Amino acid sequence: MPKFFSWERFLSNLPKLLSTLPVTFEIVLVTYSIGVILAVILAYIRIRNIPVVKQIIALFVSFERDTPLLVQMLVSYYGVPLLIEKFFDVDTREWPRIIFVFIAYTANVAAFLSEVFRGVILAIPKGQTEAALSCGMTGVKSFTKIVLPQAVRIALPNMWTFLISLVKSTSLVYMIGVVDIIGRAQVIGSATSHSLESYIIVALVFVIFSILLQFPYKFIERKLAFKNKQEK
Amino acid sequence: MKKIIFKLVAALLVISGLAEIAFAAKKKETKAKVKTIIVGTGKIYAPFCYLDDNGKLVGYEIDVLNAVDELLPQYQFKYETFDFANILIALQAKKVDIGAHQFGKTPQREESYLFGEQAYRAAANKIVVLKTRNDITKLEDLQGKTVNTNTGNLVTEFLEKYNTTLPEDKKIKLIITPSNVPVEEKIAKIKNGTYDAVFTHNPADIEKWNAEYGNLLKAAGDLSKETSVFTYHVYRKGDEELKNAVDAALKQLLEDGTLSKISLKALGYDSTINLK
Repeated sequence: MPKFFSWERFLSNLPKLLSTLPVTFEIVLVTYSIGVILAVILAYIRIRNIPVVKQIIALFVSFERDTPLLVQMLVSYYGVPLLIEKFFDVDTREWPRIIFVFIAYTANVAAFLSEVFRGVILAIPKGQTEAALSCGMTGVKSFTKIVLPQAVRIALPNMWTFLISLVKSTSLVYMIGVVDIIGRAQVIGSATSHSLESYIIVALVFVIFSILLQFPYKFIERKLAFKNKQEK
Repeated sequence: MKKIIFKLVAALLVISGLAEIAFAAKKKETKAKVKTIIVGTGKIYAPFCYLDDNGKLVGYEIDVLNAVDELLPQYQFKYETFDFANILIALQAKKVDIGAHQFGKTPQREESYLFGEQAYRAAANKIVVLKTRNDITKLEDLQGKTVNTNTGNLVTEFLEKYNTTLPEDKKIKLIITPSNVPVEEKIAKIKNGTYDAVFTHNPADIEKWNAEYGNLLKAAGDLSKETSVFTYHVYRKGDEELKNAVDAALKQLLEDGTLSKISLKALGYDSTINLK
């Protein structure tokens, strides 16, 4: 009697699905690392109150924060190419789709983290910057050498939470046809009429992945905390 | 500060201007050669378009268009896969030039898109029920029953229209799910009685489901002539040149019997009999 679940299919699907994991890693690595750098710049500009640019960033952040990631990705995939074609006359149709995922996710990471950074940078007492400036440091140097290292320490829990949430939100990319683990699960489901095993594997992978991500965080946090104590 | 912004803007303008010239030149070069046509299809719709074990895109849609491509030296087809619901959006956003996902013609769709004139598959939508049920054999038997259909397909549209002609207590209860919902759900729900019937226009589906889930289902007759599927390729409005070329190639394939060979190979039966 054929069944809805079989271990045989579970085991045969496992390697197929795991082979798509590099796609997820790639998305997370690229978007998070570029996003963090952009976020620092955005936060810095907003705190420095640079006119016009500041308003544009505020608008950008509010768009990224108030619309679903899925919508942003679809806008990036269907809208951005039209803009590129209009202004640069470049045919983007043969670009790999993952580029549009990068655009959408990087913008999202940058917007969210810029708000995190803005908060923590403002949380550093102004006296720190003033002291640095009075020692003869330039504005940028006092920011990168004095304020940022302290700010990152406070921002870390939020940054890490966002990283884990980013890993999970990569599960949306199949919507524009990138074959990540969910995309592959659907493909297998269509070819074999059995999806249950694949989706169980997907769930397990995300759980394991998120749990594993907690270990480096604990390590880094312990390191930073220890340093704090010594400094006192 | 103002100076810096001014300089930045000026620099950007210059760069974009240069880029435009550079890319424009590149574009002209490629135009002279074979024109690349991007086909938007799906990848989770076996046996029409799906990925095989090696991750290669295969299926009836691809086989047909490959044969068409061979007859048209001026074009080269490339395939991109999308979620079914997104193919027409991609067509409008100029991401693709041809939509191939067993599209049927409807007046609403024809308002926004250009349809081919030569269909490349014909099939009737069958009512699928549990083997143990004998009370449903035709459309009228579905009144007051619960059925499952997919978003955006012909059956959904037809049944919604049919419902408007029925009194409140006889209306067919439609449970409309996205086309990417796993098959298990369909089978499990028809097995436990949540759905009284589901539909398919691919007779091979029923055999496959029976093989996978233990001989549960049977075809209980055709739904209606109006939902008989004639599938066409979809183009952007104004793309007559491409449409005419593909139509002519399809006609040739149909007449010399290649199309029915492709159908036999990819689907297991000849779905082109009613086309001639």
